[in-house]
Amino acid sequence: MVRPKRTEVVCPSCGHRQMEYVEANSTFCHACGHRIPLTVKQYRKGSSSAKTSSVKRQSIRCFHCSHEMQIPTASDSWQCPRCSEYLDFKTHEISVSTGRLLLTYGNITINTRGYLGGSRAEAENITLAGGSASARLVARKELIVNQTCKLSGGFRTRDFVIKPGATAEAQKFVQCRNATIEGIAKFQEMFVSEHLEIVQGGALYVEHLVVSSVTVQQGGQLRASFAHCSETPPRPAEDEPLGTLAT
Amino acid sequence: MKWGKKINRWVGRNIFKISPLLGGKLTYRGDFYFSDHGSVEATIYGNVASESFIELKEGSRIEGNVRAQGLNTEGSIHGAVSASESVSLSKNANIQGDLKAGSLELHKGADFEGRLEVGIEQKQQQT
Repeated sequence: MVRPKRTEVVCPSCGHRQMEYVEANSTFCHACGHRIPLTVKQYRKGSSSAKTSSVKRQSIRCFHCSHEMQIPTASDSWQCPRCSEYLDFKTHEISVSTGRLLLTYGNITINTRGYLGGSRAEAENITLAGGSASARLVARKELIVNQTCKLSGGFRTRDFVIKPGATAEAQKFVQCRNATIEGIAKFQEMFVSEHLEIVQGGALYVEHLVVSSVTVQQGGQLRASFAHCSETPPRPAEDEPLGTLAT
Repeated sequence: MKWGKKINRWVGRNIFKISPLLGGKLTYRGDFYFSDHGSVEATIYGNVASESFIELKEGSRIEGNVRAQGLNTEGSIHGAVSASESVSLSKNANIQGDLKAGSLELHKGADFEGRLEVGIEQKQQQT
């Protein structure tokens, strides 16, 4: 009996290599489940256009079960191999009122008429070009306020920036690692930041301030009903995986 | 009580050439007023005021209110601090009390607890 010939196939999504029959038309990647059309020569090993070495990967944790996995950076979405939950990598632009739970490894932009309800929203970067959010916002890298906005659910991020002319109001707990206030910030609860800088024209009005270091330039304003400054740094946001950031 | 108005040990630096010094690591009781730059390296139980800048050296302590044009502290203050210009808290500085200033620089390692108002009065006066 003659055994059918097999050849090595490279997954275009995750770069996994596996053996498949030469005459097969398509298969699924054993590692990530991605469908591989074998009629396209570029996926077979030895082809000049094989993309195995060029696949850039990033390490992420699942929002839901904290499973750590390696995925290609170019992916728009993924499925957690442990809990099978859908993982989003898209960039979302909120221009209307929406109340869904928004968890993405991409970015979120809230426009002037946008409203983000729900319990929480997590993203790599969050930009507020106006609008409002009652969901608790968690931005792994940056939360930037470009226009006047209301953040009634509070937020947590690594770098927080209010651009000149913008006003941000938050009714709940706010936490960041570095804060640069160029506009006006009004926080009704606690504001925790490792480093706070208020530049000329910027103002921060807060009920309870907890910081490690503060710089208020001439022409900047800071009013805190109670301030606690000490070397003990607040818990940094960036040290924790995105998918497991607690609200 | 000793007033330490004397040519101090920092003669080489212009800022301290004619400045009064409360030093000697002694303890003073009473209110003090500096007409020029003041430098404190002592423990003071009382209020301290200056028309210019006050510098608190490391290990110094003031149990009272401080009012000056500016303040640069490495020591500790238990009382309200009011400065029309800048206030700088170096590492190991400690202020327990309300702070009003035109601008603020609080370095990592400094401790502060109290109400904070920076740049507020200055802006209100301008408007």
